Amino acid sequence: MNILEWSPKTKALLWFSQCLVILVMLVLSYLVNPIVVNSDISRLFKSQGHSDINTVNNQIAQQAVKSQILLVGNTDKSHAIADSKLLAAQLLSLNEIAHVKSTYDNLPTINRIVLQYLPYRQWLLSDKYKRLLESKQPDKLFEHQFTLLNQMVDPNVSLTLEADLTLSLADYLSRSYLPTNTLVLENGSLIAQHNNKYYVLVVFESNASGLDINESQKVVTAIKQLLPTHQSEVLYTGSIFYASEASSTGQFEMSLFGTVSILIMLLLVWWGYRHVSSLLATLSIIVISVLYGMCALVIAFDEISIVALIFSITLIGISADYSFHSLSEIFFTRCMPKNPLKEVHRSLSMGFLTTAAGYLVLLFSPFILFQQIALFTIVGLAGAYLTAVLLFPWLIANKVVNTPPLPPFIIWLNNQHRKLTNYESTHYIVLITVIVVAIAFGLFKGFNDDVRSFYNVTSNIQVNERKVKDILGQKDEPQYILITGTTAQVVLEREEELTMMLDQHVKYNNLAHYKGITQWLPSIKKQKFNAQLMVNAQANGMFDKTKMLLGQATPILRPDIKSSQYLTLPVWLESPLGRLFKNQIMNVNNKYYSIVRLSGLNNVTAIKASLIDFEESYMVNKVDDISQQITQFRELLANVLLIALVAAWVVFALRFGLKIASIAILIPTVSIVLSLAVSVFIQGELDIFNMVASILILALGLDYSVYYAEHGFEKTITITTLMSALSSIAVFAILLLSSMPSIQSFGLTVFIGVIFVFILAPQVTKWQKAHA
Amino acid sequence: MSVPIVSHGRFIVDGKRVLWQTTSPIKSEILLTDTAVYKRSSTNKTFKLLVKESPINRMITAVLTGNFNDRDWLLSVAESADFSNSCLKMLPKSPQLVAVFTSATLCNQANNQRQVLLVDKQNNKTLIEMNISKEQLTPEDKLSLEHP
Repeated sequence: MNILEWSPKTKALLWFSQCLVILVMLVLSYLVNPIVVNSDISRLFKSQGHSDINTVNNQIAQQAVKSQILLVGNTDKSHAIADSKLLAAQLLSLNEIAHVKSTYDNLPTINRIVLQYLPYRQWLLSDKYKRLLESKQPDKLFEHQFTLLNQMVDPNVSLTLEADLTLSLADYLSRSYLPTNTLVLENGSLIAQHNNKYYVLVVFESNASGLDINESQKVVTAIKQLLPTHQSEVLYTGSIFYASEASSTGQFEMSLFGTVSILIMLLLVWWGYRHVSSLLATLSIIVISVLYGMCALVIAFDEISIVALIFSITLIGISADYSFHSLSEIFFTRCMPKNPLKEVHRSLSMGFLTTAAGYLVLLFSPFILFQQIALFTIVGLAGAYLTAVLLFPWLIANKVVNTPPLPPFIIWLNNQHRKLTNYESTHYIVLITVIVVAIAFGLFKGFNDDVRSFYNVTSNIQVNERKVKDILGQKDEPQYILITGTTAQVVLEREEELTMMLDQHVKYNNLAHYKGITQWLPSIKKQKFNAQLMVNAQANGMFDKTKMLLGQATPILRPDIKSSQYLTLPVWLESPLGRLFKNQIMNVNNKYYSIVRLSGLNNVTAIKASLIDFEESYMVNKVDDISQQITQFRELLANVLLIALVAAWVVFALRFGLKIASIAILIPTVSIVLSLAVSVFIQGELDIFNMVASILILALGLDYSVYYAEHGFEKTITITTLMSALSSIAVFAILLLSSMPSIQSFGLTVFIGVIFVFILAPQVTKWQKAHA
Repeated sequence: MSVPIVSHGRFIVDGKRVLWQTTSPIKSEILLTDTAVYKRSSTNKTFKLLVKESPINRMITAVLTGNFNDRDWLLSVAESADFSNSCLKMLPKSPQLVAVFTSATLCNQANNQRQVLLVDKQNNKTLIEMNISKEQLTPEDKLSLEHP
């Protein structure tokens, strides 16, 4: 039996039943897996993947997310230290903070580092020492050893000389690879001096792995309340501060845009239909669609991005269309009370299918943000569609006794629209389109796929971060090289080969520095090679001059130089220096991963090109990788738009014939081109959000074409499309007020696109007349 | 060490910089500034950076150039090893230096002779005996001192 033929009451019962199921699902999902709204803007474009490399990269990113830095600064050192300790104690009392560190008694001192390496002397050689041994020029080696001896009170020399007369260990430890000296350990505190102030380092970790909006805001609010109680300056940086700002901006924009959108919607409904039931119907369709959307998000995702929620406010404008279409039919036509939406059911269904198909493209995008927007909108629209079809006949049809006259403005607008469909106007439309597109083409600066440009950060956070980095001398790049291997030794050997390549890039200034564990832990293969090199050097008399200077007659090499007790990874990782590098080597699913961190990158392309020759070594740059994925997705989106147009043309051709189908797809096509052109006038360049907006313009354009193609140039269609266009325009225009450039781009293009779609859609009727 | 390591050469002190030119056992130059240590061998024309921003290096430079104060050092008068002269004994205050360095003793001797004794935590001693001469700096010395 056809559901449409059911009585309004039965349909309403069906609606209530399915609505109840959805509500139960929402409550259960919430109880099992409470909604975590994530405000970590760095994860907006996190691509999904399940490879080991992705796991490692996510672990590395997670380490960075959890760790936050505070610097307590004062001209008086003792005040800075006292304030840092007080602040640390206050932070520790906050429930949301898991770990606070303001004293660093266990940091490796030079003495401890030297003692740790002493058992492995003569197996660890610097590149320079190795080259000197290989040069077979004893004078050059002696000159280098003498320079070491000539540096007065050098602990690397004084602590190792007695055990290692070759000075190879002193030389190995004298390389300037140790962490920056900007921070000085004093009475357990790490202190940096900058512009006549002493800054004491305080590091803390938040409790949860993710950055829930409530949590980040609570932590940051609590910290900011603590700051004025200290006389010292407190500088801060870390992802939690960015997340807190994103969440307060996001929450503010979501509530502002949401409230304004609903108010505008209700005012429009009152102006158009002037009946309480119409307000009730529109409000119910909006509430239901949001509930449906939320239910889908909660079930499908562990965390929901707050930016996705801001985007999802646009659902209010789109779902209300079903209400307008149904209300126009019920209020302004003599429809059957038993099945009042019979005449518009087909256009409602086609409208839902076209919009859902458009958003379906985003559902298969590689980015969580777009997936969440798409899922929320598709399921939300399904709820809106079901509400219109099943609930409205019961909710409204019986409440409207008399068909009220259409507002005079609608009759006037309908006439104006009619004028637009004459041939002369069509020529003007074509001419204007060509001119606008030509100018836009001239002004077009290209596509901007840089993910960093999609959101704004306030200058206060940026100033703090810059100051902290200046004081701490941090120059680390977000890029790093990941090396994999089946055993730790394989990874170390690969890293050694790779760092030789990196040394060349440092020499040619493509890179300032790099940090890898093989700088402090050579592979066993290399240690064995070094031992043999030392044995050969002694046999060749390379150490004779040194022996003479130091008054040694006996061999100066250790007797067990060919021993098997070389320095291994597990031993080194437990040493004072090795503990600092624990995050730079990982074991995931029985595979080892080592990370080489890069600083001062001047030529990424050259380094990437060199990496091609290295096995199992990858340059990881989350920002660039995501930007590259955005470029690929943008190109894919353009192709999908073309395919969608062709598919729509086929469907329309089957239903309405070739001519109407052609004009029906021309309407969204011209609207997309014009709205992108106007976006170029305003933005200069286009981004992925302008392109995503095109999908929505296509869906809305096809919707309007369906309405006109199905019902002809009816005044009721004019009011439906006008209400729909005004609601969409209002919702998307509000997005222009957003602080996030990405949301602005999206709002601008859809806002312009809807205007063009509304103006152009009646063109279908001209061909419809010819078709008839 | 059973045998002391002996080297000879010239110490050139100019403002906050010291140029240590050895003539034996090999010819070499070490330039100490308050921010870095540079080295130049007999075969090289330019200085190469050895150490940067090292507190030990800053301390040695301060002792040799006389740019020290009682904020960083505990200063006291002491006798020279042969009790013939009075000397200035300096103990570092910074915990970072205390970990590796014990003391510096500066002694003024007769006939324009000076002695600097540096003692590290392992009780290794560096004794610098200097004959003071007030010669004009040669253009080469000036150029070396101006590096980098």
